Amino acid sequence: MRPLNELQLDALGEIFNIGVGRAASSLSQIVNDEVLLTAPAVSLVHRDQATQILLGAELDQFSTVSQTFSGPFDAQAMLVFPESNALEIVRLMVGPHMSIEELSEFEQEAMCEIGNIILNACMSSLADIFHISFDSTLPLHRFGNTENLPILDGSDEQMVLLLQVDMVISQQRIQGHILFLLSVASMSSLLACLDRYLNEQGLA
Amino acid sequence: MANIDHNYGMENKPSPLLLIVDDSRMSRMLIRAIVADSRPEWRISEAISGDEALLAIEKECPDFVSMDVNMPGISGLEAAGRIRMRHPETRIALCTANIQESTREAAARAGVHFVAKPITAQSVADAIAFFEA
Repeated sequence: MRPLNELQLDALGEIFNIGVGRAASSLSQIVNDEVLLTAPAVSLVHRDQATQILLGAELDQFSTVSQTFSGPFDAQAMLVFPESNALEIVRLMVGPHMSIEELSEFEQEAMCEIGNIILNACMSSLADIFHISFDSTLPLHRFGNTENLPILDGSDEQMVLLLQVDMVISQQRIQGHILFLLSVASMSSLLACLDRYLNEQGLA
Repeated sequence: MANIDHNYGMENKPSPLLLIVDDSRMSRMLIRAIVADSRPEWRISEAISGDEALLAIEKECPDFVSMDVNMPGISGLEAAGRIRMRHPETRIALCTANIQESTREAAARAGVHFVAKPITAQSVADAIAFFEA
């Protein structure tokens, strides 16, 4: 697998930023407040490196939402927030009046909704810019730790497009990650789409 | 009496200067390519952050600015506000993926034009129409 060059990485970062910008707009309508959502860093790593990066995160208990997208290339997408942060997002979404017990009941549903919005926004940003389309499965919420995150299983050859996500709602800063797990073939197709796009724009 | 600016043409004015402020190299290249295509006479300079943009305007004040919002360092909205304070005549288009109502309102309050990303021939044409209005 050849590494991405600087322009390819920059272009993917910008396309995903447009995606999360749209997601922020949708989420802000839900929470009725300004939502700042940025993906400041995008990197392409091997599957086991993604594990290392998540292991390096402060907490090892995660709230995850995953969805599989299929089209000209397939991607297993996953939104990962530290579990405590996820509950905070849910609190901001469903209102501050609920007890922790009540919040926990909504967590699965609310996280699925947030995951669906953010992951779809990222993929539709790719789809719009590349003029392609994807089908997606329903979002699936899971709790996990670094021992049993579903993304950690699978072939060593798979690559992970890893986005760091910064979210600010009501002055609360929440950091998470978005992972797109791609097979070698899907990664090549994605890069072919990207190169074609850059070429059409006269940029490469 | 001879005018030292005569090389700049009949109006004795240099061609308009557009400053593109964006941390994404792709976005800067796209805006530059589309503008160069439709306004080949414009001069174009680039900055990769709000702070760099503020330094750039000290050297030469641009006529037009295309400003991203989410960048490392100060935000594009803050940079735009500071440029407007010092150079109220400069026309600034906020060209951003942050499409929320709150950003549009902040842009309106700051007296800058709002253009939603992605950057396309159409969104750049929209910004150019604002610059030339």
